[in-house]
Amino acid sequence: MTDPTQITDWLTRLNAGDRRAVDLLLPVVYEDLRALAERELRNEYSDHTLQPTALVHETYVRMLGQQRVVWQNRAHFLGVAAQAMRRILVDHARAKHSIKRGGGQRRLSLDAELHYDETHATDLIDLDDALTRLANLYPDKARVVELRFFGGLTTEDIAAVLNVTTRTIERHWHFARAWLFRDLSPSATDQ
Amino acid sequence: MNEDTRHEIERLFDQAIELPINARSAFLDQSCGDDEFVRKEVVSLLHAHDNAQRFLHGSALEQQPNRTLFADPWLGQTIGRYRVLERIATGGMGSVYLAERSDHAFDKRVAIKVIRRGMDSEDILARFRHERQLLANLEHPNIAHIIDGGSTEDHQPYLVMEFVDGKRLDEYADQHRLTVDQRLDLFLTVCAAVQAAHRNLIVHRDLKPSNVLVTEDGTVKLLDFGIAKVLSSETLQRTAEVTATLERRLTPAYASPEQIRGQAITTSADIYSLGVILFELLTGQRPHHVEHKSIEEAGRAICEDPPTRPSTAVRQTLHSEPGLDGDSSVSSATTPESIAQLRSTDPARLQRMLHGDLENIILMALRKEPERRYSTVEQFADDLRRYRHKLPVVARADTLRYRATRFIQRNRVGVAASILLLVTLCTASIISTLLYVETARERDRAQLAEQRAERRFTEVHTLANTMLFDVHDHIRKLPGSTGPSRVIVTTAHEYLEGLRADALDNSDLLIDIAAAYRRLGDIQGGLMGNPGLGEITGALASYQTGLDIIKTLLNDDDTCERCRIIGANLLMGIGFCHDEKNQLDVAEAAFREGKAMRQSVRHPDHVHTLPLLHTFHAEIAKLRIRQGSFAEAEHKIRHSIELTQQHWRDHSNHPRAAFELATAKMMLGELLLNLGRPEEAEVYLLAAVAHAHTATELTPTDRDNRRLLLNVEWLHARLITLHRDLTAGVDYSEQLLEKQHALMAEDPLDRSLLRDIATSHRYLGEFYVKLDNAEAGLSHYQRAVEMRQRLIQLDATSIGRQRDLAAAIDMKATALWRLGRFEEAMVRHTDAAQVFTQLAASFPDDIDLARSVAVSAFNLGELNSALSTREDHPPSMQATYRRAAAEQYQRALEIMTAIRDSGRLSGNDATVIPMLKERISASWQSDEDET
Repeated sequence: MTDPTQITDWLTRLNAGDRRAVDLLLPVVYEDLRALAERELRNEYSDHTLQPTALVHETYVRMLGQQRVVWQNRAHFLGVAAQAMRRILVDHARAKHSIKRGGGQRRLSLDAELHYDETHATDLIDLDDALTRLANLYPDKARVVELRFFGGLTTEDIAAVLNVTTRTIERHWHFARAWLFRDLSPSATDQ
Repeated sequence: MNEDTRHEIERLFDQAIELPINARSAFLDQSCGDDEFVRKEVVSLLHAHDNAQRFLHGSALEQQPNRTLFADPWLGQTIGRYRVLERIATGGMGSVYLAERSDHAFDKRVAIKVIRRGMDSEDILARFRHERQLLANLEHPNIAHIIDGGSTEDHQPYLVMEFVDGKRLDEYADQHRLTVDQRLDLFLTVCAAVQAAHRNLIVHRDLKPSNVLVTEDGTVKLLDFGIAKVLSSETLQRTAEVTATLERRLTPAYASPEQIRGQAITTSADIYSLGVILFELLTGQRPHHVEHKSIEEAGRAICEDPPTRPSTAVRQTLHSEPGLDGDSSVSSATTPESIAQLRSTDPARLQRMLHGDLENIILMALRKEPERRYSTVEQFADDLRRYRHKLPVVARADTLRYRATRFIQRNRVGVAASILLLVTLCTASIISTLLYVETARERDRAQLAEQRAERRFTEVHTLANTMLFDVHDHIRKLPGSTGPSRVIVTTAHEYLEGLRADALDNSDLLIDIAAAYRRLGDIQGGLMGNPGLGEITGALASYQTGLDIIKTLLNDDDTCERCRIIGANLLMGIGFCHDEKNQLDVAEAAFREGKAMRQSVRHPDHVHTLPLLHTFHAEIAKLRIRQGSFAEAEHKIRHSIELTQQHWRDHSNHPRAAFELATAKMMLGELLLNLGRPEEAEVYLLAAVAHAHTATELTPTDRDNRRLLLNVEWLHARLITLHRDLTAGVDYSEQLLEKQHALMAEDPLDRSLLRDIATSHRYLGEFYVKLDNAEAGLSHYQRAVEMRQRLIQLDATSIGRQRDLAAAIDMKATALWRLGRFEEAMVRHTDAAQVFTQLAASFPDDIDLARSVAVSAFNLGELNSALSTREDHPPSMQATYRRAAAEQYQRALEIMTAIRDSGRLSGNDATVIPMLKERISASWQSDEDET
């Protein structure tokens, strides 16, 4: 696992506005988070609703250990983690989707353990595409969806990551949700 | 679309959603001017906004198998006659919606469960129609009933159910901070509902807190009864995939091991799930931690790992359990304090409450093997009520026995060797622990070390006791267990000897050793219902050793209650041994001493005390019957009935009390029947039947109760046959015999029942001979003889069994000569007479044996007499037979006269003496006629 001080360093750079740090952080966070998410997804019998937040927090603790980090760093970490989570889930959905379409040779052992059914997998892929389209028009709003829906972040955390008020986050959310809904609704394409 | 347009759309949208829907149009008219593009965009986004309330709800990772990212297709739609209002929940089998009658015929809200797509709806519906008849019977105030069912236009099956506006059982309990007692009350209501369903032959199969709702006024409602069955019928299971999906969708945290393994599901699965629910309700935790585990791991844990003990669970802190509240990002830790607080108590008190009976009850429901759980929900609930009323509960801790059992099951080969090893290990560790205690004391170490040693000592000697005897209890039921039993006895004997020498003045340990000697005696002697080894002499020695220890202890400290209880039990065993050896006086002395010791126990009304006390009276009464002191026996039995009646009043509805009462009345009924007082006998026998029925109803699975009921009925059947209506009596008897055989089939090794059945066959033989159907009589007698022979092979030293075998052979001979098989009959009669004569010579006090000699002589007389009248015999032969008959009659007469002269003749036998005299004179008469 990557040295915690290294991660703190990247986070500090990110906080200072160095977006390249995301490219360094993302693969690391992705790997760790994926391991955790798989564990959670396998555990389909858990009576709890799976909390992405819990996963993200766990990754955070695992990666940074007992390091003292500033609040802003934590927010940035959550932001990166949400991005990682989106990739994990969408990658998974794509993989599942292609296996499905591949026909008879289903890898039952793994897939049977995952809760996502075909519809859900397609939905996630479509959502990912729609989200990318939205990001072209309203990047901040798309980011809110990523943080909230994929990262499971609270409005407060999202506000901290994007450095805006919670009121703004609420507005972004409503708009983005409506936009994505319209974009993905079959009736909308008919029009 | 340029950036300005985008911002304009965004701005108008933000403002419009703050407005009421009907004000938006005017707002847009005013704001958009004639920019049709912007207006159209905003309108469509607003429309999307209004429909997207549930879109992207929660988060991407939420485990909702049926969830799509889109607004639910059913919201606002009509299913059957119902309009869907909102989605209540999404579960493994589909989604549940709140709906109302669309025609407003009733103002009734219902819950509609739309079954997940992908299942064969034709099959489900067919199954559903079949099950619905059953489910319709399920009208219970605590069960949400099913109203309707059908399939939607696109063939998705759905069920319409009573809508329950309530909270999950556990959430309700936590929210109201219900105490353990209040939680038990709630749980008992749940049990009553499940019980009602089981009575209608409906198994829930998926009981869990989310299926048990409590409304705000505290009414409990169970959901989804029978649905799991509808959805997992055999028809469905044809497609493996669907089954796999379904089975996985069960909530394994509440699923029983047999469900995990895919084995047959019975009501016992619900009992297990109820156990998990109760566990969680009381401890806030689950018996197995299946969170963060793969299916295989979770399944294995449930099938193999022993559950956490409830009293241990409440001491644990569970970290990083994500909160159940969907929006919370805070991981809530479950701590002993938080658990106790939610139950309005503190951790120490909660732990004390759970420890012991309550814990044993929960763990009994959670046993891996269905047959070792409570057999009905009612029994489970009854035990909880007994706990509430501070009565002794049925459930017992059995971890050690359980482990030993599992051990034996896994290693059937070489059981004897393994047990030997176990016992040796126990012995070794006890001795080393004792040494450790000694050393620790010598060195006067820190108190801590000593405490630790003491604790270990206690653990080890409990282990040894449990292992030694519970292992035996278990293996004795296995076929061919005599060998291992013998190994246990030998080893245990050495072990106890060694332990006794090491115990020195440790009185606690000495009491345990005395108790162990008692158990050892039980195994050796095979008394008190134990099949055992039949080693009466060895048993007597063990009991005596135990008694010596107890007496020494009582000498030092006569306040030791436990010593008295164990002492009384040892004396009971000693009495039985002497009884079996036909040493009636010595037996009586032991019974009397035991009774006195039992009476000196300070709480004589304790529920455990009285049955034993009554047994002493009963045993002494039985001795009196054997000695021919019928009046005294009757008096004693009547006293014993008084004692048991008192007990019944104090502990009404206690199955054991009903059992004892039935036993006592049966004894009196039997005595009166044998004394020739059938009218009086019938009163007691009918009462005994009623009590035995009560006992059986209270604990339907208890074999002792069922055996008792059959025995009492048998006596009544005998009474009817002998004094009322021969044919009706025989019919009744045949029915009873059939029931006994059915009971035997459940446990072919039950030797007590084998004895009962042997007796039944003997009686039926007698009845058929009376009916002049010697053929049928002979076949019954033959069965009786075979069973007696099997019994005597098991225990050749028992005088009682030798007598019973001889009696069966003697009776068989009577049927033989009625069929004209005189020679065979003669051989058997002579053999039986010889056995009786020998036995009677050894035990001159035993009036029963003396009477048996007389009966066998009479039978020989009858046979000779029959031979004397055969016309194919020459007259000289006939005369010889006649003389032989007269001699036998004479012998019988002498014995019976002696019995009468000692005042020990029973009423039934009163007519025997004149009859014998008549036969004798008739024989001489004929003889004189000849000459």
